[in-house]
Amino acid sequence: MRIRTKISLVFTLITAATILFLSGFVYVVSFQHSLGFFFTRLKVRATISAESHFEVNGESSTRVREIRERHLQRLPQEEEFFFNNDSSVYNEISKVLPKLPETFVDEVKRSGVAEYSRGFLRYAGIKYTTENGDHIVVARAYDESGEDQMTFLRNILLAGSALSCVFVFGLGQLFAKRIMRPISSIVSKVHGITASNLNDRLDEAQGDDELAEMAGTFNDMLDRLETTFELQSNFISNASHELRTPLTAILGEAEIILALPRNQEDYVKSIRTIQYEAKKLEDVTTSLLRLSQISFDGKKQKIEPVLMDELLMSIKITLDKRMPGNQVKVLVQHVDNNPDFFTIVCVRVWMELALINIIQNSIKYSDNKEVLVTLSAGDGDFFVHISDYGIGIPPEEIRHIFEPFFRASNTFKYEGHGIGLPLAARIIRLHGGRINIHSKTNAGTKVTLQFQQSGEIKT
Amino acid sequence: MKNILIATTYQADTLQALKIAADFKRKDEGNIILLSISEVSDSITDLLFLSSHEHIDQNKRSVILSSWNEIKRQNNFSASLEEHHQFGMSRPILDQLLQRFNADMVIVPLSFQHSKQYIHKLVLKLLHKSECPMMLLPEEQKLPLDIQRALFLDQVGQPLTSSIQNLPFHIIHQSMVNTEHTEDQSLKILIEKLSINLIVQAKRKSEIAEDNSHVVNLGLPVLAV
Repeated sequence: MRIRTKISLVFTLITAATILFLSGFVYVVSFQHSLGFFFTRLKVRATISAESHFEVNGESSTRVREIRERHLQRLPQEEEFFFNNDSSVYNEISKVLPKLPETFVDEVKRSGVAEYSRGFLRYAGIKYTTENGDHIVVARAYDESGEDQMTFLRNILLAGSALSCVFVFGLGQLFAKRIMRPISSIVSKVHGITASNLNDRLDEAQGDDELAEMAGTFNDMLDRLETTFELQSNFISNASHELRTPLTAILGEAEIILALPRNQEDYVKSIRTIQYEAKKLEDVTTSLLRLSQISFDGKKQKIEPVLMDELLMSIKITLDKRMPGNQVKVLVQHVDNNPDFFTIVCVRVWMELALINIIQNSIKYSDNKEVLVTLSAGDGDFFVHISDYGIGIPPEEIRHIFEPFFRASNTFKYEGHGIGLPLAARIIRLHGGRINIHSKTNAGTKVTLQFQQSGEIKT
Repeated sequence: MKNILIATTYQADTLQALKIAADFKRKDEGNIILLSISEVSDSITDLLFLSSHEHIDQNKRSVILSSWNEIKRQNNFSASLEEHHQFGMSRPILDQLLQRFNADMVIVPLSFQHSKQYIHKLVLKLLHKSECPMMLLPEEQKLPLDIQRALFLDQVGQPLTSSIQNLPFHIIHQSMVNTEHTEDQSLKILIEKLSINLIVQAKRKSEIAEDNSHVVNLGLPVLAV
């Protein structure tokens, strides 16, 4: 069953149940009210009849009868019966009115008044006392107007309820259609989005209702998909280029050397070139392998608390050994009473690799000018800032620098494969950190790494 | 998206403030708002408040705006410029202004700091007491071309917020360098050695110019946070 029909049905059922309950209540209360009113009229008639029947004084008896005839309308099938209240009264009553139950007579005897209904034929009994003793008067009449009223009310309520249910069902359908319209539109639009038009977005993301939230979530997902697609296509083109360049050089060199007979010196020179290009190829493939390992083998690495200040110092020592002329300066903020403030839970080897990559980039692209690395505390976080006075990154290219193999347009004279920074960014993000880059061409670059204290690694 | 407010009297040094603000907003899509302030007009009709023309030197304003458009074009600055004129000032008005313009920093050029007008002095005083970071610029010729390194003078042990640490310049905390230098080494030598272009310090609840002359005398912009 479609959601639209379900909503209409539930809507109709709830309304029908409410209307039926209300109708039943109105009917019962009206019936009780009409019954009470009719019995009151019957009792009045029984009293007046008793007075005119048992009155000793003939004149006043005649007057009472006259008043009754003049002012009280006779009810359908109205009849009064008079009995002496003695031990055989029930027998006498049952002879005249065989359908009256014994309880009715007992009730009159006990409380002086009783009511009984048989269908719409009503009986009212009263006890009337005269000088000659107690008497029981029974008035009987058919409640024709009550019957008419109650039948009319019942019909109206049933017809009204049925019409209301139809109306509510129609309204429910309309309402459900209005609710479901944006969903149908979202579904048809999402159906239409394929790899070729991933830049399409849903218009329903305006507003603050649940549907707008859903459309917004779809749009976010499409954003991520589009980015991933773009990254993937860039990655493939860049990777093929990076792998192809040394391969072309190797093949070219081999073709040239094999074209003619050469002396041994030429062969050695050529093999050295091939070896150099093959080494480059190996570097690229090793970096690629490492990049994929960082993505997929997260659980195999040892995760431990690492003091960032110690890590930075050990990186400085490593760099001093590897590049003795470097001008890297590491400064750490002093934090009172908490030597473990700069603790991060991470894979030490990866974190070291990420930081070394970023610092080496700073050294490389600033032609070994001063590189400042600082570790400072923030509000609940800590920051590693790495800044240089290097060539910077052109503003329009900053958004691409985390894409594998992307190299800024001003880096042609520097060797590199465009893998170090994406790898570092991936490691930082994997450790719940954030990486932010500010750069100005020919002025310098500042990389900010923001970590939560003792942040847990995402695996 | 946060914006930068520049308190201005449309003197020539407003351009320097605009350059710094645009440099800070290179990456974010924030706006720059030029805020001019004048006393409440002593008038019998509200209509006089409708125009700020009489309260701003229009010649200086047009010079600033045309020069700015040229600089913006040359440097490929993306931040857009808005102007706002404010009649009268009080602490609630300033708070509302900062909230209305979603300001994450107020830059105050030297001409505004040295203004003789009471309302400008009041604004400066209120800015010192507000929560919003405020950058006080020095003389134009002493202003560095690029602000790349800042020294944070931490007198009260206040931590640097994430938003300040994520600004384009590199902040060096005072405690990072104290251990390397002897105590009597002056601030000036430290600044030269570390190539500092900006002083960052926690706000004092009175004017920096009065009790903070040793910092102001360094001739560097001061960012009070």
